[in-house]
Amino acid sequence: MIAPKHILGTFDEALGNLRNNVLMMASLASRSLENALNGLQQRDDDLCATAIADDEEVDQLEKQVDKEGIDLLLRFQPVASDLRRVVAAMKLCSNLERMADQAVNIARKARKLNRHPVLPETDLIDPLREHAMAMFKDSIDAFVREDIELGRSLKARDRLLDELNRNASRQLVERMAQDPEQLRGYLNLMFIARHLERVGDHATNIAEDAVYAAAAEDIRHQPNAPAAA
Amino acid sequence: MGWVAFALAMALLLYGSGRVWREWIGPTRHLDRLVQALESEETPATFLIGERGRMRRIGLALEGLSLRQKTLREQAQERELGIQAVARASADGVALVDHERRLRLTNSVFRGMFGITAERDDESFIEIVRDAVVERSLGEVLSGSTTQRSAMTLPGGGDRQVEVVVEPIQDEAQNIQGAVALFRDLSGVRQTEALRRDFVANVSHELRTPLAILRGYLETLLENPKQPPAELLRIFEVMERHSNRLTLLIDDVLSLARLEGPGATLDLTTIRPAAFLRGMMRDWEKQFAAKNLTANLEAADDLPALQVDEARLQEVIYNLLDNAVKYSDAGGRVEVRATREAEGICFSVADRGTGIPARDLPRIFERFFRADKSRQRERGGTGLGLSIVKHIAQLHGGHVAAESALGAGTTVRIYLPLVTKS
Repeated sequence: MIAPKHILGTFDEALGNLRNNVLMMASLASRSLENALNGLQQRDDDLCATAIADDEEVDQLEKQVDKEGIDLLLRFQPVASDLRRVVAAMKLCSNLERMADQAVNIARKARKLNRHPVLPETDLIDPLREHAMAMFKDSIDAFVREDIELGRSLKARDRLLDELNRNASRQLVERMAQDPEQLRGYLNLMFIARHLERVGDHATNIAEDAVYAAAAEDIRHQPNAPAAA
Repeated sequence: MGWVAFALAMALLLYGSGRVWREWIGPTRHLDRLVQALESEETPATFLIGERGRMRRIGLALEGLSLRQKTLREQAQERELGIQAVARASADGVALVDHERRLRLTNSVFRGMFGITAERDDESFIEIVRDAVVERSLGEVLSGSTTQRSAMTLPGGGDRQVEVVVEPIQDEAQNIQGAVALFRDLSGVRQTEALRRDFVANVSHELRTPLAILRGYLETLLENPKQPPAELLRIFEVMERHSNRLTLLIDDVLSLARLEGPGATLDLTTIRPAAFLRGMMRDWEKQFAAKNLTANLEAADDLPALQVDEARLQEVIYNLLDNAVKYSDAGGRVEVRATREAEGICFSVADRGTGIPARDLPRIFERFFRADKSRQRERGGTGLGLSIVKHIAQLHGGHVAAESALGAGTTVRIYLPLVTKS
């Protein structure tokens, strides 16, 4: 669904800029997460350092989006769907900034893990990574395309991610008992799994905001969301 | 008297009105029609307004403007069609972006890369491309920088990397009007690079192994030349075997290079398949006998004549028979056939030897691929034979196929057209 063009050209322009900045943030946050996770899997400290350094740019963009959003609200005083789009973009950017923070957390833990011999249990992170990154991409797609169905589907997928996180944590706790010498490494892996689970939570928030912007429907905190396909 | 004056006044009035109509109202209406026609991009029948004076000059000026407008429109259309044709013909993804960072024109490669339809051509660049680094390059180009290069991974899973080149579009006054972004898929380039790297590594390895053996024995002889005659004979035999192996490998590498090169040509002659295979089988009788193999040839004499490069086809059958003999157990059976197929002639060589695992079968025509790595050395061979076979078949416009079952043997088929286009 594509929003009808506004009579007041400058509002469309300003909203377009706001959306572009949000998408820029999304791309940066996604890149940081990929860098941090590749840094973990390829044991590459440079990638971890890049993920940490890129957070600064995401923070700057967050401030810019906030400023542009407030300017837009003051100048045009939008109502109805226009207002929802502006508010959703502003809420989105705050979730994206937190996602970039999760990337930094993962990169820091990865650097610690890279100082020690490789742990085979690092593979436990793979399914979580795949699921969380797919959720992230789909949440942004739901926002861009105003795809309500895709947005709704994220909630159930988040529960699956929670389950994956619990499984990984359980296995890591078992390994801790068997091999206490590697306790620190297993703990770091547990933290990384937890950070990915948080990425899923933020993706769900983004999807909720996307549904709100497109359909004026608040799907937050609904216990009976559809189950994952 | 009064009547005369009235009539005179009326005549004057009529004359005056007629003149006003002819000089002003009529031409103005005509001018109005002309302007409306030009506005709707139609060509009026005539631009002549009035016979003389200012209106006539305006009409002629409008005609000039109309002609100029038409020429400009045609030029713009030609340019647009030219740009579209260039974009369509490009093997890279092409996106034309205006100074507001909106897509103005995309080609099918770009749309395929990002999974979009042509109707979305008015959208914001970042909504489609969604890459911060590429978006930043675009921003820099639009604000005056020169060409920017970056790389990104395409959406849609996998690890499809593209190189992105963003180039500014400038008008005559060097003002930036937009940018063109080219997306070059690097997976093909990377695959070729990997193939080249593997090839070099494999060739080096294959060359080094017999050389190391030769050097080893040479050192032994240098240290102690007075070896017992039996040992000397054994050493020379090993050295001869490995120098033969080196020659074979170099021949195969050169043969493959010639076949793959752009100037690979065929010396076409007409052969009768049955007679050709009978000749080959005669040449191989000694090798079959050495392993006590039963060789069987099935090729009807009335098979149509075939236009091929005879020496190359001999190389193909030689390689296939060589494999069949190598991988057959003593006392086994080798079957050679030529049959008529819809596309031409099929040559096949079948053995009942060790066979190839199903997972390896699709790869046996790759250079240096070996299904049975552990026993390769003892069997000899360079690992290039089947690759040469495939290339020769392809040069003739044909193709190859293989089927195999572990322990039951392997059949390799070569399909060649009756007439090869040179």
